[in-house]
Amino acid sequence: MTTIIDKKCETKNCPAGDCRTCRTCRTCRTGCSNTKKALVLGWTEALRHRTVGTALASLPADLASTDGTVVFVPAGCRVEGPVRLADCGSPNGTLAVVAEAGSELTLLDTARCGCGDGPQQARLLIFVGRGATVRLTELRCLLEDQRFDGRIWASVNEDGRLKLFSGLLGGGHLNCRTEIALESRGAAVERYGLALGTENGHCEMNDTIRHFAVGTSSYIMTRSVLTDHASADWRLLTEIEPKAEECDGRQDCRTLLLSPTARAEIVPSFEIGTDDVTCSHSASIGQPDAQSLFYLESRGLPAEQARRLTALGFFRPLVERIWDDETRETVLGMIQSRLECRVN
Amino acid sequence: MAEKRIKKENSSLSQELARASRSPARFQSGPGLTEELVVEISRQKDEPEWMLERRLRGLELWQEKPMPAWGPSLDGLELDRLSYFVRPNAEESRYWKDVPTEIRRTFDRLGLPQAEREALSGVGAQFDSDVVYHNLKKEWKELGVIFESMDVAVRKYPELVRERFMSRCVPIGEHKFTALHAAVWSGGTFIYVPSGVEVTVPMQAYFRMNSERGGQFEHTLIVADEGSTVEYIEGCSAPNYTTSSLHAGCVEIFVGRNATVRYSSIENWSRNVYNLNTKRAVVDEGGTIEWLSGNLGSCTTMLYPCSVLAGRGARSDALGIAMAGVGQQQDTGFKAIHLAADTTSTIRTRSISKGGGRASYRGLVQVGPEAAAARSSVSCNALIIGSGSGSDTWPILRTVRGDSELTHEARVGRIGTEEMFYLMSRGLTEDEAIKMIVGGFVDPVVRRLPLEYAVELNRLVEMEMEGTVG
Repeated sequence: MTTIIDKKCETKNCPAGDCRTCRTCRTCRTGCSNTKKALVLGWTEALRHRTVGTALASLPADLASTDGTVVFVPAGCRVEGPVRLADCGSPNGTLAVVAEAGSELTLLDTARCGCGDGPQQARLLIFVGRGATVRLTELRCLLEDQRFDGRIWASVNEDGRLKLFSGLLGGGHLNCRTEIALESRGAAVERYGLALGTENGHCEMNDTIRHFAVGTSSYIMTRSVLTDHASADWRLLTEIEPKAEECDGRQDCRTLLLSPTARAEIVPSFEIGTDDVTCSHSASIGQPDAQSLFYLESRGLPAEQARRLTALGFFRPLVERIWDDETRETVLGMIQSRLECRVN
Repeated sequence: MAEKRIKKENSSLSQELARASRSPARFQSGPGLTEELVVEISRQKDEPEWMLERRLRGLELWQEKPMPAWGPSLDGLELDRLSYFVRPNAEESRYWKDVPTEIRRTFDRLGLPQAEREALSGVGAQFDSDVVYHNLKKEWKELGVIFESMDVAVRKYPELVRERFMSRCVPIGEHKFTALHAAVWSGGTFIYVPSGVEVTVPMQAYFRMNSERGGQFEHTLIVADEGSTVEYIEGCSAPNYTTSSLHAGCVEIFVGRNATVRYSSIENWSRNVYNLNTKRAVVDEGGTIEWLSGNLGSCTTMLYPCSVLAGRGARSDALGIAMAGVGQQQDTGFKAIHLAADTTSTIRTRSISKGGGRASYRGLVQVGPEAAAARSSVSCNALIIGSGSGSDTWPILRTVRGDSELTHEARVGRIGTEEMFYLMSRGLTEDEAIKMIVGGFVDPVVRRLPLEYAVELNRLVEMEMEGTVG
């Protein structure tokens, strides 16, 4: 068992001043939230844990796993700042995040960036409890000829918030299926997808968001830039069940083609079973705006730099949505270095 | 008061249509589809050998092909119990007075002869499997325009029909229902507009399916030669029976270089009809196809008019409206296949679901490897009225070229409470306010229709919206 947060106790007059050793606080009903710590558990250990065990047992049969890592955030525990998973997440295999009621967690998963040879497979399972907030960023960088199959499954409960950012860069072949269920009233999800495809890279994203309850909202925003012979398929589906009234579903899906041999497909779809909804989507596939390029070049920038800047500007609205500086800088850094390699 | 009058008119219209519709058939095939029936249809129509061959090929493919595995359920369609060929008790005529009284009364009531006198250059009327009336005004005939029933055209203009009929545009084996269509097609319209002729007044055909558990399979073939212009309007209806009927028509349009074809259809089949239609246009260099598609009736519609933009600078404009009420499923949309450089397509649709109905948009924009600088824009708006109703959108944008520009936008929602409050505070009832908002919603489509059709569509929409509240 690893403790991934370690803070001084905030309770006044705490005899120990350190949650790990303070016996008072553990029984204290009034004070310190640090008495409860976020934990990283091994799979067998997690199955024995009362809350985590129940959560994992509720998974659909095809997602049941025997191995993996679990990040558990107990009720009321707030983990501030991004927790990097580079050291404890496994590059292949299953990662589960269980956030109990009222908890908060920000994760940055860069562990699975292009390591290992041969085909890779990974699963990400997220449980967001009542009123909990989970912000998760996962970045994958695939080398040419690398293959990756991913599966993301999330369930968001009453007034829970899930912000999920997936960044996919490189020339490998990536296939990812995401299913997010908004189970109870007031649950909300923001799903962000970034793809920067280079060489013969192919990325296939299948995102489904299901609204099961009243007053749930979802927002999907994707930006892809494709160079060389890269291709990207985005299949988005927002499903609103007949009883899920007062729902809000939006999709915004754009692709920028930087080379004449790049290919793209977008299918932004809706299946709506009730009248009391506001849904909209917009999708576009296009090239960089000739006027912007002309403007930049007329200011003395070389053509390739102008194209890089345009691509960076294209990602801007998406990157700006990222919740903390550290994650944002990491994402921007990866985009920039990738663009510099490939766009010339 | 005005509403009551409209209601009264509508009910007397349907009663009169029901009375008029009780006309005995000259030939009605038994239920089910056999090779003998296909041969018999071809024999009765005195068709050339090549057409019989295509029919038999259709039958073969129909038996091979599976039912579509996607889209709305077709379980209620009893294919073995349908009559695939029903001939009315009338020969095709060029004079309205020669059409038998019962059939004439049906079309009189639908306003066909009056429309011909006032606004159309040519009119055709089909009753079940056969065309009963066809006429083209003299001035157009003199310019070489051909407007015939498809049966006549097969015999009279084989050089124009043979190479185009269900081959290059809609192949026989495209799907199960095109194969069925090829086997049992009957009636429909053939239009040929010679090079450079601009037909300024629309031509029209009206299809009426009359027999219970019947099937209508009319074939429309439009050939617009280089630089010509033509507009064609189709109207469709059927009386209400309790058992299901099938409409599996096929429309093939060839738009020549720099030609323009505008094809409008208002399909208002009764609520027991499965409308599984196939429509496609092949557009040559600089040509334009304009689709206008209104789907109001039928229990299940699957209709996706397709434009194949085969020549440089070809263009497709599609405008659709679908309305799904109680027990209806309108699964409609448009396809644009860009095969050549500088091709453009636009798709605009409006759909309304109410009273538990479901209206869906299913569309495709595809850019092929040769289509440099292709442009496409798609926009779908859906209005959902009543909590049991639903709406779906499945648009596909696909390109294999980096210089294409494709955009899509859609909005789905209910009628805003603010809009309703505003109208009702001005003294309108809830019913009137909904009608007015829906009227405004479909206005962009209605505005594109010829006047008399716009009036009809408006009235149909209003009839459909009748009694939405309470």
